[in-house]
Amino acid sequence: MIRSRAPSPQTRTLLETLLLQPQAWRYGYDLSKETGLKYGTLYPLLMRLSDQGLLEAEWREPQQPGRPPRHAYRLTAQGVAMASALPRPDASGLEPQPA
Amino acid sequence: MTRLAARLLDHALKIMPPARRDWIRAMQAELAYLPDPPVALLFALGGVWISYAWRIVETMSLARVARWTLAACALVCAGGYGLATALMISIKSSPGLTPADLGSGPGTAGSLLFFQTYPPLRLAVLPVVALLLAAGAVRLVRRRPDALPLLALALAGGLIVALADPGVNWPLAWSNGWLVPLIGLIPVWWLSRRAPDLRTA
Repeated sequence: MIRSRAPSPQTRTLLETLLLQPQAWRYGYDLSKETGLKYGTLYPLLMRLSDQGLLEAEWREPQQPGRPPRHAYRLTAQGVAMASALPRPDASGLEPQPA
Repeated sequence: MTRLAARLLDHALKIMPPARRDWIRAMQAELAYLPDPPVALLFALGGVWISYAWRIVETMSLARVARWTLAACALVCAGGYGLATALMISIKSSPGLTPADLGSGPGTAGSLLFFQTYPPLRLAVLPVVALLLAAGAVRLVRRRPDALPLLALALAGGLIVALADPGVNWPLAWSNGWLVPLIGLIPVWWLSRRAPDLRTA
């Protein structure tokens, strides 16, 4: 039986960042800057979300010639739904406690 | 420094399990878009960390076996200490016991004397060690963080008791002997816990 757990704070941060522009393709370096997550944390999170079908990834052609294609990420419909359903902290900044 | 970063990611690509190598290739491509060499180096070090962490995660089954083996050894040790406690209490509560009552083996007299004169304070430690080992084993199986401190306390207690008796202490010696492989298994289990949280969100 798989235990369901609440997303970690890092996962939540990443989901909320991706949810800001759900249709836009985002790159790893930009996500790292926006979320503040280190690369060693960010990429495993991206991998895990992709495994769960919450994130899609694709290679995108470079905008500048002479550079390699770049891996880009965005939430799937399922990922958007999941991220949207995450409980928001209350006005005091505290996470809502389970009943 | 950028060249070093590229070589680090080449290494990460070799370490990463084959099914996951596309992600390291993604990081290799991203390297070309990073603003400066120190950032690229940090990025590449992150990639190396990820590849080794995934390797460790892939051996989680080995860590699980180590954890269960550790727990089983701890339970056997707990049983040993429990038996030793029961044996000593039963002998101490029978002051009229003689070697002839126990058999005619060559070490019987010495063992009986050892049990009869075993210090009560040290005897009191034995069931405590047994309980700590049993509790540590249960919490180890349940992946609780206080499992290792409990086992470490039990090990310390067992070693102190054993070292206090340089002479005949065979009921404790074989109990403590089981603890030796436990020490080797503890780092395996600890390493598996220190891998990044790569389980489900």
